Amino acid sequence: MSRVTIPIGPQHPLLKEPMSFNITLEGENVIDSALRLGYVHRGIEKLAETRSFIQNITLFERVCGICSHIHTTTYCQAVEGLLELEVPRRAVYIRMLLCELERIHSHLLWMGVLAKNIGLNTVFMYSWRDREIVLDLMEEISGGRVSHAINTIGGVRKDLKEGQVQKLSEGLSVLSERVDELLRIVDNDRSFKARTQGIGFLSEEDVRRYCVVGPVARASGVDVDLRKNVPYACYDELSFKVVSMTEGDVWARSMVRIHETSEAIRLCEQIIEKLPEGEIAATAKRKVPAGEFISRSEAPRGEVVYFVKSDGSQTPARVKVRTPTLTALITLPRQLSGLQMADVSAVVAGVDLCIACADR
Amino acid sequence: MINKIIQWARRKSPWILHFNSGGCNGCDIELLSLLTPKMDVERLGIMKESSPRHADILVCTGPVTAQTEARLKRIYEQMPAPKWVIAAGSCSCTGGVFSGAYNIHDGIDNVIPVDVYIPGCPCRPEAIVDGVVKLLEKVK
Amino acid sequence: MTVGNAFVELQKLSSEAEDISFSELNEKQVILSADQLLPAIKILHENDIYHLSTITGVYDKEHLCLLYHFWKEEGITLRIPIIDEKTSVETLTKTIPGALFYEREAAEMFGIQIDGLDTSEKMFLPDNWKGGAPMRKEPAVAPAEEKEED
Repeated sequence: MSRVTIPIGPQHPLLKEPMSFNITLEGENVIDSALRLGYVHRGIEKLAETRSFIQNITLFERVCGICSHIHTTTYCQAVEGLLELEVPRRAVYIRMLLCELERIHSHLLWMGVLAKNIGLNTVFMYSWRDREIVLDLMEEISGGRVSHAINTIGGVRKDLKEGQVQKLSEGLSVLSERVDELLRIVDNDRSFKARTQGIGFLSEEDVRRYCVVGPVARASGVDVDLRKNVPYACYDELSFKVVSMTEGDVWARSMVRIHETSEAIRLCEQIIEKLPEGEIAATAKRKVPAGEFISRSEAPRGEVVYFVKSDGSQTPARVKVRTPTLTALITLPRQLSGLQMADVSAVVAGVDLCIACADR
Repeated sequence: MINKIIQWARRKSPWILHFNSGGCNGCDIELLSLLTPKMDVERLGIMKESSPRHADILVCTGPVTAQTEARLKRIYEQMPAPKWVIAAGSCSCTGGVFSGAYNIHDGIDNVIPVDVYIPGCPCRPEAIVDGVVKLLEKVK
Repeated sequence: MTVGNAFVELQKLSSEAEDISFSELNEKQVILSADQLLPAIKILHENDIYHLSTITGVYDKEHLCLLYHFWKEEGITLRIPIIDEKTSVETLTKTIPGALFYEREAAEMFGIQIDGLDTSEKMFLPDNWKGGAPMRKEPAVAPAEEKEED
């Protein structure tokens, strides 16, 4: 049988962001695939060296539009580590609240994209409609739907008011019912299962060798979640389950993400209940002392690492960002080999790519 | 007479092609939320298309990176005339927060002609609808 | 603690390395020379430490350094100074295939020579890029050009 190479190019209805993907087929089966990144490479790490520590918060918020808050949280944690600054507990709780709301919105977004890619348009509409509830709640707290600008070095810029807490509780209880409905679809719907089970398989050994993180790793039996293993912020004061499965296919990843969304809703309810009184920001010194600091956190897609180096001047000497999508991209050729062309869209969506994060 | 009908159809049902020329995704997901039940622009006749050959309006988000420049030009050339371009978001207007980076040509108007600029970081869905409406009034 | 054990064993390896001043980090770190990288990876694997978080290129007090950040319950970093243009490290992709993108990024952004890595195609930078390695402070001379002059 002759071989055909299909370019899934930078502009394609399957991809929300530009990435070049060449798939070589023999008949209907994928035998090889090649990635080309770099379409969204903006040179952010170099830009960060020319801007002050505070200006960089705005810059790092725009590494990715979907997980913007976790990037600034991790960056601020690194700079606060260099300053040896203790952030007030109320500020940490507000940061965690937004992190969990962001996790909910990111997973609902992913659910819609996966459903659209496999042809279940109604689920796309339902999950993005429910996502609007989360965006309204985030706008209520921070003033922005997608980029929040709430983090500062030493804490947060805006406080939670009484009326907002009431709205949060109401919104979360509506979300809880809707997410249970989505879980029912993923767990029971025959067409969803037929399109997602048994494809894109990664074994536990693969996850180890490719250093995969996030829900993709947890769906293959690697039970690591930085909120539990390296409790940053105040996650050790809250109780939640880390969800993992062993099937390792696109369906297992879907189950892990939906369960994580339910856990995130429960976490938000605990945060509101236990919100401590106090200041919302500590005063930071103007000069960041020389040193290096690594900060890690659990974004919706996995481990985010920020390495910040200061040489005592106004601007950082080096900021290195490692985002989780890069680990998933390395495994794509392995996941796709041997599959049929019709399954490519489900696998690519099941990995939950965020190319803007990967390219920086 | 036929021309009048065609003009009416163009105004009443503009088909959009969305291209992300290197942005952070923020404006893209605000653009996609236009299709979802809260805003639902399909009832206004706006449909999101996949092929440049089917589209009337190119909505571009993100600053132009060196790698996407050639693609952006090619997509613009592939669209049949009459065609219009909307630069959605601060990055595609002027480069936004990434202005000055080594891999960026600030703003898409350095590469293709732009008809409407929609500021915002990210631009709100209501602002995008407003931009499309302003463009359609200009088309009249 | 597996990381604690690995740290002790790696320090024995490190005491043979050149005495260079380095910055402090908030996680455990070990200074090694470029040819000690693969033995160090073996020690880490024997202690059940597999997860490579990332590879950072950074200018430290005297030299450009490559930092290999590993993690298992806590972090441990291998710091390898790149003494001059001829210093090269071995690729890890034979035992850790997940290191591929990080190594290609370090090679592309900093112009560091990594033996066994295919750098014929660009990954992040555009195909028509003529600006050298963008993260370097001084303009880079690619090792291939240097060899031609010899």
